Amino acid sequence: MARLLFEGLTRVFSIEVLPWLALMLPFGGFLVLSLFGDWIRKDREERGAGVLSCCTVLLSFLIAVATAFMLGDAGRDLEQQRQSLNLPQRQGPYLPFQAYLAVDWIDVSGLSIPVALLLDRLASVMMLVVTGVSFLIHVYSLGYMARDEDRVRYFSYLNLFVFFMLLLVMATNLLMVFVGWEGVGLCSYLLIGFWFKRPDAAAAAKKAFIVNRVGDAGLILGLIMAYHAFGTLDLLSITDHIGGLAPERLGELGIVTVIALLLFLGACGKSAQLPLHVWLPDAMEGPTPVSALIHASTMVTAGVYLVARLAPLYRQSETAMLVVAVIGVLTAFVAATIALVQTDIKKVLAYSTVSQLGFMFLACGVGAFGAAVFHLVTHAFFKALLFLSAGSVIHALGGEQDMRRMGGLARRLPWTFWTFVIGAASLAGLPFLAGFFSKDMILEGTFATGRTAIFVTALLAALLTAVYITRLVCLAFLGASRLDAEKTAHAHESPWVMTIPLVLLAVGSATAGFVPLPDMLRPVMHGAASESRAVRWIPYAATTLSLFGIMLAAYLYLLYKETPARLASALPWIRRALEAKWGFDDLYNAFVRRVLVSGGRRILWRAVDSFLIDGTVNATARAVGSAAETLRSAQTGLVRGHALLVLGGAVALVVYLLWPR
Amino acid sequence: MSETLLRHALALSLALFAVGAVGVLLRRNVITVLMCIELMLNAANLALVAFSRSWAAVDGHVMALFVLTVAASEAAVGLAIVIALQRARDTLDVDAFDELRG
Amino acid sequence: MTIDFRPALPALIVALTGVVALVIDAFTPRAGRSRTQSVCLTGLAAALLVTFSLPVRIGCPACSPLTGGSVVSDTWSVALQALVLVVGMLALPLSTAYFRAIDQDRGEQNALIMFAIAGMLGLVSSVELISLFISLEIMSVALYALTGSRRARSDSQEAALKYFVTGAFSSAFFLYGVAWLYGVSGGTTFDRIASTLASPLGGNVGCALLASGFLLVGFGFKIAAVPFHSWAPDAYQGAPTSVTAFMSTAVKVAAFGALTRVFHGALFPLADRWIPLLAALAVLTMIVGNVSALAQRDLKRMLAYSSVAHAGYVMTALVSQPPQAAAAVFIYLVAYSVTNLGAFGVLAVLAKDGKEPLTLADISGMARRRPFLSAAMAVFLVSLTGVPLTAGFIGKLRVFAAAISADHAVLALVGLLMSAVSAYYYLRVVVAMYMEPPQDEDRWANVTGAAGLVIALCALAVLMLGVFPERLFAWAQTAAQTFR
Repeated sequence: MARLLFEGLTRVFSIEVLPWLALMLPFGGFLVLSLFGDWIRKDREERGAGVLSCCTVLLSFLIAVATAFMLGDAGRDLEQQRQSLNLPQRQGPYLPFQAYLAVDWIDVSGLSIPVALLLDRLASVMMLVVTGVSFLIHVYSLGYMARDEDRVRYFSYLNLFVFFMLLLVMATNLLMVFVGWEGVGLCSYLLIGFWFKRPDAAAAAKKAFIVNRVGDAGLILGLIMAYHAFGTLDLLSITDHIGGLAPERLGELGIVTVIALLLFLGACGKSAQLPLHVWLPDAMEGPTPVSALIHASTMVTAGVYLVARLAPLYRQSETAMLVVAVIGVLTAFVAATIALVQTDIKKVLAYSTVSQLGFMFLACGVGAFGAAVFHLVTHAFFKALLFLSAGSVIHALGGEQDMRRMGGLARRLPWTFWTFVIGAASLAGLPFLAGFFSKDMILEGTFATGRTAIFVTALLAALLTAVYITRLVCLAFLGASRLDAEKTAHAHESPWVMTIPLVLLAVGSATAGFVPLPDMLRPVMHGAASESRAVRWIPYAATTLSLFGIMLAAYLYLLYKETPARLASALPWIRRALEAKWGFDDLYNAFVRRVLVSGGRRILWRAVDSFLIDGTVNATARAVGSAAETLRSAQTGLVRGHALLVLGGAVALVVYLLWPR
Repeated sequence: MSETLLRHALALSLALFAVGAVGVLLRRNVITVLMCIELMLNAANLALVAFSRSWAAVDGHVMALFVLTVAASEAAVGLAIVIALQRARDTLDVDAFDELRG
Repeated sequence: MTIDFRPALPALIVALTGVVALVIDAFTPRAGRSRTQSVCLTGLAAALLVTFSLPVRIGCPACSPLTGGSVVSDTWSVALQALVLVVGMLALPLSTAYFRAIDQDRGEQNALIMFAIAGMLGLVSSVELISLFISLEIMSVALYALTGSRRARSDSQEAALKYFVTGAFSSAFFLYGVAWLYGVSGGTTFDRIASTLASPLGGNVGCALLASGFLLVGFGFKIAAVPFHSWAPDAYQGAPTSVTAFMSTAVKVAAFGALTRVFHGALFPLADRWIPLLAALAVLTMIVGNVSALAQRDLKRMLAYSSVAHAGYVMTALVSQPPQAAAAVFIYLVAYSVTNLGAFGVLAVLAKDGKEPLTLADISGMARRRPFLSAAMAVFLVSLTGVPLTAGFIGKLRVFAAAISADHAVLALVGLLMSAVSAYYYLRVVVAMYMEPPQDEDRWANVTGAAGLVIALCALAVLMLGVFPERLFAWAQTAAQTFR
């Protein structure tokens, strides 16, 4: 009996089963919460929903930890598994740390739909980040959403998000990636508009939806092209196929560039890169933990993950790499400048996220894919920390987000303050904190490519990063208090369910840099020559820049507070450009309004509006509706009517059958 | 059975079948409708018997007997339903039954 | 000359159980509750056991009606008989619960269900025209009576009348087709017919086509294919809901089982003539069924049109080659039966004091009061829509794959489009249950006992078949061996 139990347990605790469990647990949580949510809600005060939700994600996290340790010895059966799944023959060698976790869901003659998860070190790292950060944010949400009427719905969406995100990072083929991709997008949409009664939230949700569709169009096209070019959507097969091609044939591979760029367009949409970044700052209308989870540490990094996963594909196309690098560094710089002038604490962090994602793409673009994933991980820690701390501030001030009405909070919210400072220092890249190592590696990789313009822009962006985050610390936490008396009285440190996640994330933000992640990931990325640490002076230069930026910001925003205003009035066009966020929103609005709407009206008059749009969408709905009504009224319910139909049908059948041919 | 006789029998059978089918559509009294359906069944019976004779086999005859039985049981259930409806609605007009529609 | 009665044993057992039930009922006091449910369940279980223990042969060598070859026990008949019997066993507790709720539990409905099942068992195992027709009529006559078995309500009687008149009408067509087919081939067995039709027919080809057209009318009526469907919404709406649950599933199983055997067996030599016809009927059925369901406000009527639409999905599989078509048909029938039985069953078990939920308003906000029943209903509706990880998806996958493999991709396309349309009316119900507030105080019954177990089993089956379809595929492959 005991032996049977033991055998059963070892079956479950095998690397073939555990990742499925990790994937399905959050989904189970979602199902229970959404199906039985109303039932749970009967008791207004209890926390069952949140606790259940936390537990599923905690279990997933523990499984992720366990599988990460088990990964070392699970690669043996890989070839056999692939063959049993009828997956295409691989050309590349098998690496000892890849495992297929496969269920041949449907496999009968002529129809084979294997459903498999891919678990290698990259996926494992992503699993750890997704489940770990999600768990902390779930716990934090227990406190943050404690008084929200709709928290059952909130937690069910959050769980659904974790499910789709895990599906995305463990997908074996691009189609599954796409399913996860759309799934997280859906959750993002639902959660941005969580407080749908606020018009801003609804508008932001819609904006995120629309902008992401542009990216998705690229992704779908890329998918189709990839299938056309490689005959498969299996991720490993694609990367093998590329690696197996001789260099002299690469000239014919223009299609690789096209595929890479189309997929990158999708990544731009999801990861808020120029010029599709406009939705992310608006997405801050969602609850702050959502901003921390989805719009800072996990979902928005899906684009980086996709590009890193397809590293061998991108390596084959210099054009694509250059585009990725340029877009990345431009985004990093532009978003950092916009962050300088934002007054909403969450908007600063949002632009900071856009900027840091730009750094990650820059790393991809210069071939330092390991560094990109490394930065993704460290960023997940410190940005989640910054958002949650900011959320703690907002929570303490009863919803106040404007930094001009904060100040001097350090004494009132000591835990929040110190954890925020650690996150900020990590973001600014102070030595030996997590952000230092990863950013340094990106800069080294950029330098190694020898593109000076890109390198200098990246350095500038790094400097600006230090400036805007220090500005944020100074304005919100230091200096004299600018709070109303009422809010001063109200301001209090958050409950322990909120501060403990902060402390844990702070520990992560401080120490995550010591994990030699790029070395661990190198085999997954099919080797990377440019990730050497040859250049000794870059860490010193970067540190100096950061310190300079911090001091500059402290000087401007603590000591000589009138200087920024004077600077602004001296350089009005810069201020205007920055405050208008470089005009992207206006440009898009103008484009949509002028070119699409009024242009359409002028040129096509009503044709587009009333004929095409109304004509296709509404008319289809109306046609179906009226057809339904017609059929309904045709059904008179008379016996003789039924008989007539039968006879008519019979005559029609016989006439057809006997028709001479 | 000669070819001509078979032809004649089949022609009669087709005619009976058509008369029955059209009767179902045209008559409003439920009882008459049931009788028209019987007519159609018997048209089939005629065809069966005629074919059976022409093949010089018994299958068709056997089947015709079975059909008679089936028709009887069908009529029994049908009349029971008609009686129940007559009690409920006090009419035998098929067009009166249109509560269920749409 | 020995007659082998064994293949008819399951049907005989079930019919005998029905008679026993009638006798038991006659000795039960009028006021008392019927005790026939357990008897009938035992009879069905015994028939199931016998079905599986009979020696299975493939095909029917030299069978003749006079030597006991009218019905056979081959893989197809075993599979479909088992399905019919399981559906019957699931439907019985629903029926008892419903008839108790409307205070009319006299047991005769159980006997009628038994007789109908006996007919169905004969229908799926017949390999010969006479027994085919007789089985069809046994099933139909019992169903006419069942439809009208809610005596207190005139709409039940009206439904019975409409079902009866149109049913008898289409049976006459069927019989006429049988007669002509006999006339062409000179024999009544399917093998004989197939071999006759495979040889050069000369002028008789017209007669054969006429006959197959008439047969298709009869089958089209039983499966409720457009344009022979118009009775279905009326009959399904007026019939007692538990009877609707039974007849929307078991009848389709039996009729499709026989249809597949007749068209892919006896009439297969004419396939290139009737396949386009079936394809056209399938398209018409999917479109008319789904679009009509959109405009319905009565839940039973909506589900009735939905089951019309599902007949169309099954028909898409019939355009492909025999083994594949049969396997896909079987898979779809299994998926559809458990799902649809569950969906109608939920409505049936909620009946209380002679009333039952009929409109969206009646079930809005139900999730708050009955989370498990609502979850089950949501599972059924999602499966009817054809969402992955449910049985409905697996069924659609197979029938559409079959259609595509036979170069009828248009059918699959129409099917997919119509599935999208159907999501609208199915999910409307889910939305009503989960997202709208309850309209008034709870008027419906508390679901307990056997009926609740049936709903749970159906929901479980829908999910299990959806997640682990392999076993079902294996069964289907075995079942389709008859058609090699």
